[in-house]
Amino acid sequence: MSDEQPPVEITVYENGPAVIRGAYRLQDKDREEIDPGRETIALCRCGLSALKPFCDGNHALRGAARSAL
Amino acid sequence: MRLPAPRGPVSTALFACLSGEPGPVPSRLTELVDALPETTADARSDEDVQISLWTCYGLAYDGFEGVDEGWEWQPSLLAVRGALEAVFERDLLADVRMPEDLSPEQVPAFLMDLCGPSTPAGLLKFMHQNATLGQFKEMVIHRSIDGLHEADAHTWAIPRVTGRAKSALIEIQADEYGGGMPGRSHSDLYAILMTELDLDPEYGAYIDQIPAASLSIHTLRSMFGLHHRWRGGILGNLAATEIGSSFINRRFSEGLARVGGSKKARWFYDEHILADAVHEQLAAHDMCGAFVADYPAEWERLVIGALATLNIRGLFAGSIVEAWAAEGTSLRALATV
Repeated sequence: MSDEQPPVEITVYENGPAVIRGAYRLQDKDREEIDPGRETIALCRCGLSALKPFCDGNHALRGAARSAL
Repeated sequence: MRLPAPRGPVSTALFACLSGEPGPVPSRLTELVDALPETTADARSDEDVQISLWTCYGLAYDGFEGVDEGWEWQPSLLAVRGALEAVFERDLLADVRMPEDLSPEQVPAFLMDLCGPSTPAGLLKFMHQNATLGQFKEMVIHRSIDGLHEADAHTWAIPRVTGRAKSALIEIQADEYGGGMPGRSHSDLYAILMTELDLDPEYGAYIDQIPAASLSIHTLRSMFGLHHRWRGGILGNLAATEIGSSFINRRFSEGLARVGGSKKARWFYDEHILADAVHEQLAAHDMCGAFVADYPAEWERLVIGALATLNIRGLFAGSIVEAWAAEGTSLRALATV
């Protein structure tokens, strides 16, 4: 049992990213591994991130104008 | 850490008392704190109240050189702290407006919207595009009281909640402490940021220069964290801190790079970009969403905690922008000896 890898778990948040946990491997289209430098990651689903494939919180820019920035 | 310099009658009496043996506090101190409801206009920005409260809480964190540890649980001093907290809480709540039609199940979406990436008074945009290196250093000094103890006040909440909210809180906190890896906790990264900017990373090194509006960010967390009845409030405080944080920290990192900050200096901000993209979801949905569902009598306290946090952040940002607009320093002048 102790050798078993935990299943990859993907949690999709409404109006937010997909949070990935577990023994995933992240890679680009050439199958080169992308090292996120952390175990749990959030992947962008809105296309607004400047750090794709990772989420950088830019989803908050959608919708209401953030004129006070 | 040494005791700070007093900033008024309460802190003068308090610090004199702390230098002695633990015991009953002088009646003069009790009279002063009993009069605070009349003598304090807004405890959030009152220098005497905030430095006194910060020092009372400091006994529960690092303690002070020359101050007997017995003071931490001395009933007479806890009564003084309680009087300081009462006036602080009065002024926090006076400025909180609960939305009338908000229901518990709407809380996660409400928090995500409320705590979005905007910061009051245009401070974020200024840090990103205009701040000088000197102004960056000032900002880092202001935030050092909190940054060098990052996550600690929220840890007080762990034994106070159960179930899904606790699990989400622990997942966030473990990350804040670098997953247990020495040197990787966010407070360690803050010390690196300070060192890279030629600032002293020792906790409290700049305490006498840090104004009340900056101290209140930390005293708010400590008050929420140290009181069971504010366990919802401390979770709301954490959510308000995490939500929007990725967005804010990316712009701080870019702003610091603009004025020549090294990659190592920016590590603190860069770490928060990816970490808090996860944390903001955990905080809003898993932690706060679970808490309001599992503790139905306390959901409003959580929202009040988030609102009070944003109000204090607004006061802090406003005071800095105002000082810089007047082309002065946002820090307090050191007393000349």
